[in-house]
Amino acid sequence: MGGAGTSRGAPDAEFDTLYRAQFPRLVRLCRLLLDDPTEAQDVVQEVFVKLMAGPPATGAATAWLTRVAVNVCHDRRRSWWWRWTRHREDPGAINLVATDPTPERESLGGELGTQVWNAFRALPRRQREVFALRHFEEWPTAQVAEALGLSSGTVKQHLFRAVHSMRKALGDYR
Amino acid sequence: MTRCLSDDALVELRYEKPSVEHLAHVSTCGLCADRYQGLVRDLAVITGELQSPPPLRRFAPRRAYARWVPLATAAAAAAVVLIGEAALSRPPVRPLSSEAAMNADVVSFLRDVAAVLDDTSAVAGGGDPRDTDFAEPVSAIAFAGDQAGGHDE
Repeated sequence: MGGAGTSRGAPDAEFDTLYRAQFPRLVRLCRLLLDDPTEAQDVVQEVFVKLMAGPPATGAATAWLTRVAVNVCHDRRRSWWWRWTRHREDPGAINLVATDPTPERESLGGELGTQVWNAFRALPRRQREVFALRHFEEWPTAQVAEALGLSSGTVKQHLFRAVHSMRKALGDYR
Repeated sequence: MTRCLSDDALVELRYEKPSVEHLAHVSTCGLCADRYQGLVRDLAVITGELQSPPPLRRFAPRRAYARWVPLATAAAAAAVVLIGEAALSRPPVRPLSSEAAMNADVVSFLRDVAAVLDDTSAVAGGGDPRDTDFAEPVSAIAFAGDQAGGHDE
């Protein structure tokens, strides 16, 4: 394999290094895409199993891991089982976890976080993927386009719409 | 004002390699500079919120039954299809089939009997050579019986 040099029969230490370096980042990414921390960890485990089973012939391991993670998240969200087991959300019954000690700030911060997360959850799947890769992973547009099988112009359009929707969700907090 | 950058252009300025024209405009236009700073600020807030753990979801129990509606509907539809298909594929009912078969056998038998009777009547009316073949065994049996009775006596 290219970047990380991890391949079948490669030293375990190399795989461990890659695992430790990439696991938290991939979990964060998958959590954004799936909105489920447990599922995110499962997906990342699955991705590393795939890496052990069939490492990429060429290219950097980091990009390969990210691309496979996005695809696995994509598949998981499209499965009937996922759709069926997802409960309907009651927007008025959301528990908020705030770290600010001031009650007023806690309330405001929790509400803002809820609004941002709800806006992100409401994004179409492609916009969510593009925003996560482009904004959080800071991938260039061309790489995002290649990973998602889209044109660069489409990626930009998804990004514009995602940013517009997310900013709109900020509302009075802007 | 019309030369000010659009929102998409500002987003592109933030994420893509900025063009010289856009940079020059933002550096000279206070309004666009403020809008750009607002965009950067908003994105920072969004980043901070999305990097924190997502708010927990609590699910409405009153809607829990809704999860089973598609499955129940599918099962009912499958049952209807199976029952309908079984009803349609069943061979047509023939209540008189056995009777008709029996009648056919009877008719065949009667035809055979009629044919034999016809043959017999023909023998009785004319000089068929089979007349002697048919009569001889009877007379031979009667003769043999007489002989046996005579010996016994």
